[in-house]
Amino acid sequence: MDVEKIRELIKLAKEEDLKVLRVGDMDTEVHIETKGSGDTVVTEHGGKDKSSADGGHNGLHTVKAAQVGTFYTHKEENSTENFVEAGDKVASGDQIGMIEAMKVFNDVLADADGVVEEVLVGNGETVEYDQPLVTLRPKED
Amino acid sequence: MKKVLIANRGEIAVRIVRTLREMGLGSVAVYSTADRDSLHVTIADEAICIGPPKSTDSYLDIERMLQAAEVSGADAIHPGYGFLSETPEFARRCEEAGIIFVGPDSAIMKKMGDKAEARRTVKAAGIPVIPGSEGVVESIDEVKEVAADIGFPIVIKAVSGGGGKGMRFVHDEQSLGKQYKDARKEAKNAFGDDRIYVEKYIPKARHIEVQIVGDSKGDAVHLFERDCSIQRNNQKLIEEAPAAVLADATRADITERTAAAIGRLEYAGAGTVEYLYVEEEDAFYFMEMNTRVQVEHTISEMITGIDIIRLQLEVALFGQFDIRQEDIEMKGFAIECRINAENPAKNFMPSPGSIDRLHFGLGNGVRVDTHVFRGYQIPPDYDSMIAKIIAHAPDREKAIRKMRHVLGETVISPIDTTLDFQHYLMNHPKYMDNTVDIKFLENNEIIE
Repeated sequence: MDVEKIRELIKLAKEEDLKVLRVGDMDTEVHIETKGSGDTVVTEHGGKDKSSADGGHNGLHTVKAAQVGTFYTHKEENSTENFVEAGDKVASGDQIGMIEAMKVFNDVLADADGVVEEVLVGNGETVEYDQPLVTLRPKED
Repeated sequence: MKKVLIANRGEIAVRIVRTLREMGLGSVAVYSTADRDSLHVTIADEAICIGPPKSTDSYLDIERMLQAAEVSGADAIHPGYGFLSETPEFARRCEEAGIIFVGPDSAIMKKMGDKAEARRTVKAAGIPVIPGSEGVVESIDEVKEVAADIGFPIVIKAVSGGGGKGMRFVHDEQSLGKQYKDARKEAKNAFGDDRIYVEKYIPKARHIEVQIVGDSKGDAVHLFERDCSIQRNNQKLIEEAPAAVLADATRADITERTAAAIGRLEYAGAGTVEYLYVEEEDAFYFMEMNTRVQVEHTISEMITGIDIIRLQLEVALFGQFDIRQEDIEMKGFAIECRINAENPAKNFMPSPGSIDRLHFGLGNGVRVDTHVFRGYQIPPDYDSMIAKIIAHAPDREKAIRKMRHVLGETVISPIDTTLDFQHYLMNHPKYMDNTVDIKFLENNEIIE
C-alpha cells in the first residue's frame, strides 16, 4: 500500500473522529489508532521491503553486522563525530562503529584495509545479523 | 498493539504467526541466514536475521533472541517446540528482561526437566507413576531394596538421561552389581552426572498423552488425550485423538486426574503429560511432562475446535482464562501423519533439497500445517519434518480412509519423503485393528 493512501486513511480517521480504523486487502492490513489530538499510531502488516544492499559487487568489501542491535556511527552519545566517513582510510582492526544490545556495547571493527566508500546505516538504526554496515574500497597496489 | 516474537522456525512459526494475526497482535519472526526465504519470514509483520545456519548460533542462542526482542520492542516471546522451548534459563532471562515468556514459569519448567524431580512432583500432585525408587538411589543396597519391593525386571536410568544413555535393564539380582556400575559410569561420561534412579521395567505399552492448559492460579482444563504409539526411535510418526483403545470411564478418569494434578501445580499455559498405558492392566504410568506446545497439538484442536496457541497467548499476555471444562466437547476422530524429508529405504536418511512439484490432497476435514511451498529449498541444517497432514472424520475407520486418499493424492518431489511409508502404515492390518504398541515398527520388522 502506498504512503499517500495511508495518509488519506489517517485524514479520514481524524475527520470522522474514529479511535480505530482497520482496512485490509489480500495481503496488507492497515491498522490506525488515533490517540487524542493528532498523535497517531500506524502499523502495516505484510509487504515488507527487504534491504537489497549487499555490497560485494564493484570490487567493494562489505563489513557486516555480527549481531542484532542498535548501530552507532557516533563516537560519543553527545557528539556527532563519526567513527568513519566516506573517503576515510581504514586498516583492518580499526573501529568503524558500535552495536548496542541489552545495554552492552560491542565495537564494530573493519575486517579489511581500504577506503570507506559508504556508510550504509545511520546513527541509532536497528541492524540485524549479517546486515551490511559499511562498504570499503580495497587498497590498490 | 502488543507484539510477539516467535523464537522458532518452520511450520510452528507459521502456525503461531497465523493465530497472532487472527488475534490482531503483531508478529516478529527471527531467522538464520539459511532461512532467508522461509515462509515464517515472509508472512510475519517483521523479521530479524539473528545468526548463521548453525542452531547454536541462531535459534538456540538466548542472547541473540533477547537482543532481537529488544530491538523489535516485542512484549512477549513464543518459543514454539524444540529449540529453547524447554530451557528454564531462557524463560528466566525473559522474566528478568521484563519480556513475557509464553509458557510456564522457569521454576516448574526446571522441575519437569529433571526426571527424578518431575516424578516426585507429579506423584505428590496425584498422577500415577511407574513403581520405583523415590528419587535418586545412592547405593547398590538401595537398588536391591527397591527391586525386592517392585520385583524384577527393573530398569536403571540416569537422572540427566536421554537417548538410552546410562540406561540398563536388569532381569535378576546376580547381574545387578555390574549393571549398576556400568549405568553410573555411562551416565557420568555422557552427562557429567552419575545420579541414577530405578523403575519397574514395562515391556509392552502404548504412548498416551493428555493435553492440558493451566490458568496459573490453580485451575487447569484438559483437551482429552492422544495416542502416539507409532514411533521410530522415540520419534512419533502418527498421532491420533482420542485414544481409541480407552474405555470412556478410563478416559474420563485419566484426563480429569491429570488436569486436577497439573492445576494444583499452578501451571500456566499448555502442557502435555505423557504416559505409558498398559492395556492388559488398564493402567497409566507417568513418563514425562512437556512444558510447551507439542507438534501433535493439531489433532486435539481438530476434535475440540479449540485453538491451543490462542489459549497459550491469552493466558500469558492477558491473564485471560474463560474456558470451562464442561464447555469442551469431543467431536469425531483425528489422525496426524508427520511428513519428513527422509528416505525410508535408506534408514530414513534426510533428503534436503528443492521442492519442484507440490500438491496436497485437501478436502473436507483435511488440515495441512506446513512451511513449504513450490520452489522451497529445504536447508540441511534443521529437523526434517516438512508437513503435518491431519484428517478429521466421525470415527477412526473413516479418518484412516480419509488419510489414505489424502496421502495418495499428495505430491512432493523430487526430494524423498515419508509419504509412501505413511500410506503403507495406513494399510497395515495391525494398525487398522489398532493392536499396536510403541515397539510396533521394530517388532513387526517394518524397520530395522
